[in-house]
Amino acid sequence: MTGDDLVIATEALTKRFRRRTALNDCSFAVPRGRVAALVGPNGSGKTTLLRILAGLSRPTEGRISVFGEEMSASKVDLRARVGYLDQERPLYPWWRVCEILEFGRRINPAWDAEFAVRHLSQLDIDMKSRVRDLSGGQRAQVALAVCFAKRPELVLLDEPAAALDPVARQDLLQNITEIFTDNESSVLMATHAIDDVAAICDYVIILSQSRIVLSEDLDYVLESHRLLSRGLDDGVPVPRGATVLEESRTTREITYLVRLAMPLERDGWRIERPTLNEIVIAYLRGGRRPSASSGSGLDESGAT
Amino acid sequence: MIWIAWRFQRSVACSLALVALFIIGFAVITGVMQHGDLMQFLGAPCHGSEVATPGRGDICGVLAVKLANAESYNSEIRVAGYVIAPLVGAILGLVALVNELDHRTVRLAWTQSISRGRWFGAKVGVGAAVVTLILVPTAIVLSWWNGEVRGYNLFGRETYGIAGWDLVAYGLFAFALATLLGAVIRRVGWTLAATTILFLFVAFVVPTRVRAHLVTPTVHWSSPFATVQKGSPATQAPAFPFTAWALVIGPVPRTIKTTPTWNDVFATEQNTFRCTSGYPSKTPAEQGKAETECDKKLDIENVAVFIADNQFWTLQLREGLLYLVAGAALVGGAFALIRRIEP
Repeated sequence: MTGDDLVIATEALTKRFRRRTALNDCSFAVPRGRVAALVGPNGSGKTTLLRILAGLSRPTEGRISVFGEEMSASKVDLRARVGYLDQERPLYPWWRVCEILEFGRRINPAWDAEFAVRHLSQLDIDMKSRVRDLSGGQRAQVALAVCFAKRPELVLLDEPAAALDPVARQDLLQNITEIFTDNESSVLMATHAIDDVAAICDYVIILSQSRIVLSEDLDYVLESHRLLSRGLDDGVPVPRGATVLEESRTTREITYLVRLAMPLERDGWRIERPTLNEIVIAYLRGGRRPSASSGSGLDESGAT
Repeated sequence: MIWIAWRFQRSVACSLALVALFIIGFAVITGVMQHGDLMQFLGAPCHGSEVATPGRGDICGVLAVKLANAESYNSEIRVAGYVIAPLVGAILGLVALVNELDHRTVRLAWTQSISRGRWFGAKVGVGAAVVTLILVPTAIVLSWWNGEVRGYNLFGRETYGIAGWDLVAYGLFAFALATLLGAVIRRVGWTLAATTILFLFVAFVVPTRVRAHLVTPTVHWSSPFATVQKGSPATQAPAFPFTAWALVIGPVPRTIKTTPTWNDVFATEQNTFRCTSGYPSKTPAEQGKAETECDKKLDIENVAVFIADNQFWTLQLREGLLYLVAGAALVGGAFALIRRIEP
């Protein structure tokens, strides 16, 4: 993949806040035109990473490039190509919705006023309402309208569906999908809701303990992981090319969640497809990068 | 961007403008009334005296009482005059910057297609313009009220800060101070507290330690012997204009090379005391004679170091510029910080 095909590329990215390390030696890339999910538990560094990508924060070490350019607060032209939805939806509470849109129009040259008005009208959000009078879901929609009306080529969404009721959450994800289809933008969405990832994303990045442990195409992730089960007394070794991510035992059976580096031979194993949820949780529990080499990721006693 | 900056400050700016308008209106109404009473009191038949005039009733006494009673709300206007500039400056300074940093709404602005420099410039520019627009008419009215209406000494401790254009400079300095402290502290409440404390510190230090050094004072010497009256002490202060700002008054040796200070006066008085104690002086006449002898012996003359009232506007200009330069430096510091802040 060439640099032109990448919207985001980081290299040994590290961010420290005094004694706390929020991001540690993170290297990953997001190809153009993808809806990428940034998955990780609370405090894993998702928000920090998005803020660096949005130009709000600077890395302590390492490099971060957006559209092939080093991102910084001073690069207005580059920031004009990036839309950012903050986790806290920082809208001005005393302003009316129409004033928020006017704010966006006045400082964004590519502002799509028609889109913003149409989007909010479809959701029955009154333009004359003050932001403080809106519900959490409506506020998120206004913030999303500002983010997308900017017509960004890269959209960074930090927990877009957080604190929403299930219906509002579903509507919001649907809107993101529709907007994305219209816009042809690339999206990086931070979330710890794995259902959201399965619903709208086609690329997944997993952050655990401030490190990137996975950054791959979602279909490939689903294809390259399997659940291998056998009886406890069978004594069959883990197949070559399989890295064990997680092991679970019952009284009669042992099951491994493995990452495959080559086609799998059955060799007495019962093979099943894991859900995305199972894969993500295995990575988050392990918090370690799988080895590309063949063999088990666990020690001998655990894998055989 | 100017529209955005104005939209942020609109409600607060209008509220502060209303407060200023109230002060202006109160000063104008009471000023016009007092000016009429004062002119009447100074003119015939009272000529500044409250003694009742035969056939005219107690009109002079009534005028004197009205003018005396007016002092109660005059003091309120003076207090309002002192408070309005830092109040307007500090509040608008808080709204311009720290309010957004505290509530993290800068994340919205700083992720749009605009540089932090332009954002900061618009916010600070509009804020400073609003401070100026509110305080200029306030300063004009209060100057008129102080000088024309009441005929106060403009150099007086109670009037200097609310007469002239320094009122505007104080407001802009408070605005800049709140802007810088806001960028450092990033919390509205703490910034307001720190701005108040630091502004009060500066407002104490400048009049007591700095102001007198901003213009060259007039030094007026007079011989103590020329003013000696029968039985009066020889060290009588020389005359100087009533409206001037007296810095030092008292006896010092004529041989002194630098501008006399109070320390010189105190030292001279001690030397004179030591000198006169060597003379036998039981009566006031003998005491006066002893002092005269000592003054001659020590080559002492009376001095008045003062800033004449015709230097009032020069002093205002220089002090105002001092505040503005300091304010500009503070805003520069705030800008440097803003470029590095990670909200």
